[in-house]
Amino acid sequence: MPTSALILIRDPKALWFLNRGTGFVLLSLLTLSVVLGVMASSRRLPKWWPRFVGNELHRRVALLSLSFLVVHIATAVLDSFVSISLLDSILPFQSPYRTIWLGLGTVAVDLFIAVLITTGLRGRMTEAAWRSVHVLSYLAWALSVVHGLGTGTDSHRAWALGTNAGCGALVILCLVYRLLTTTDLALPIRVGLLVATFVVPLGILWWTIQGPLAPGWSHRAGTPAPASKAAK
Amino acid sequence: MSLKLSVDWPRCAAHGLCAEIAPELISLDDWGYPTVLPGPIPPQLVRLAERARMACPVLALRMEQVPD
Repeated sequence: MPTSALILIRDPKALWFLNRGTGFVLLSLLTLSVVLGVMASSRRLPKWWPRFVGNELHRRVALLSLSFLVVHIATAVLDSFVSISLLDSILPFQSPYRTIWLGLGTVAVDLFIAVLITTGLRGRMTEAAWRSVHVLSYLAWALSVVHGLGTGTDSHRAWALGTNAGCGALVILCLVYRLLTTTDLALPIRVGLLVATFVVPLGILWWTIQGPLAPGWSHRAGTPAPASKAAK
Repeated sequence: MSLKLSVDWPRCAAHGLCAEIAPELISLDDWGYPTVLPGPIPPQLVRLAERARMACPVLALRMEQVPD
């Protein structure tokens, strides 16, 4: 038996660690995927940048995050520390464990699956139909961040906040660049989206300070008593 | 019947990915817009043509069946 499997059996906490770890890997991979996706749709790239590399990398990074997502969900379900069922990975807001914040992650999963399926069928759809689903990736990304901050038990730590802030800054930069260079959208819509690009992160920042960073978050987030007692 | 490439001109925005993936079939003009090989796609290049079609960020490359 491989040693990694042995660790999972010996240490009941291993699943929990793996779940938290894959969460942060997912955040980084999804951020990278968003950045590459924005680059793939941009026309103002330096001449030396091989376009298909960015484009193919965007798809492969997205698929790689799918495999991490499977581990992230599987470890959450298998871990007996918190009550999360397999159904909770598809159907949001059902688990008693941090119902809202876990549920937002579930919504992000559903959106991510919709994006993957439509990209699989891309050749048979109109470009507008494919795009209208694909832009939901931004929403899925934002929901994953809130899910991570609200559900994660490491959210208050400097490295966790740093990762979130770094990923956030990258995606904001991409959105600003995308909205400034696009010609597909009417000016009022572009201005509106540009304002949202700053208002939404500020809202998340405000909520982070009031919520996950304030004392007693574990209780307020809706951690059932036995798990919250054990978490202390 | 054979397959032929064509460009949906109103849609094409000169991203240039198609020519990077299938230089055997597509070249770019001075403004970055594609020129596709006239005539049927050679059978050994059909898969490459399909990849180029799927790589287009705005799906402006078309592959159609044409009578011989």
